[in-house]
Amino acid sequence: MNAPGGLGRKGYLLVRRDGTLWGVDNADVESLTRAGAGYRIGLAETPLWVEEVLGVVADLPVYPVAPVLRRFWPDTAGGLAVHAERPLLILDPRRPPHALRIEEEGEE
Amino acid sequence: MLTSGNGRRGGLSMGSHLLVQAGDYVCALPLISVRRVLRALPVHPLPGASAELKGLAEFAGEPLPVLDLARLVSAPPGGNPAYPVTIVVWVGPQDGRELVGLSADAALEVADVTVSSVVGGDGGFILGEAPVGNAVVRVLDLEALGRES
Repeated sequence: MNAPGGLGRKGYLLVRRDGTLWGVDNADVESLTRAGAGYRIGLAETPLWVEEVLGVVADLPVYPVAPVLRRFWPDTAGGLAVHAERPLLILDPRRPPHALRIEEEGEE
Repeated sequence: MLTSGNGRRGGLSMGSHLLVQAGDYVCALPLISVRRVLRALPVHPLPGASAELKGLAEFAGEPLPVLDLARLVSAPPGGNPAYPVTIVVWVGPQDGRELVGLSADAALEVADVTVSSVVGGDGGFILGEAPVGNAVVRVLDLEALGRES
């Protein structure tokens, strides 16, 4: 699976790592490739690694990150959303979260 | 926000507080800031979050940060709660308030807390302690919870 220059379809790619759901704007995805037991997501800033790709959601209302959340959570997100009654974090491509960064060899 | 309890409106005074069990402590939340009390919502933890943040939940179709009230007030752990709850509250100043869930062991009752009876406090989120009946409760300032950094 490799689709440079965005995945083509408008919406958010839903991915999961360590039990947390993330949404990545399709327009920010430069590539999506198998890597070890998961997937490597190519972004302009830095590649990320996730365990699962759940699919693409076309319509996802995005809410700003609440100040209380910023106070108690040191990582970064571009917003919050809910899909299928499950909350998720929206990735900020300019400030990719530490939680999704590639840290081990098996993730490359 | 606390008054002497004289400003009654519709049977509730401006000093009306919801008493909740959080670990070994009983905390008093200003009723005017409480939007809803729910059976404990399913919470999805966030990687790297501090202990006070339990995670994110879904409430009315929107994402809701949920904080652990016992951790916020540094309460010693209590017994295993039979009916844990999530209290959805407004925090922060009126012009920038946000909805937050507070995870607690139980919702107990509504009681009047008068400002003159509140003593101590940390100058922030914990306004102080006050006697209610035979117990001492921690009175919380939810505006301050949204303000503090």
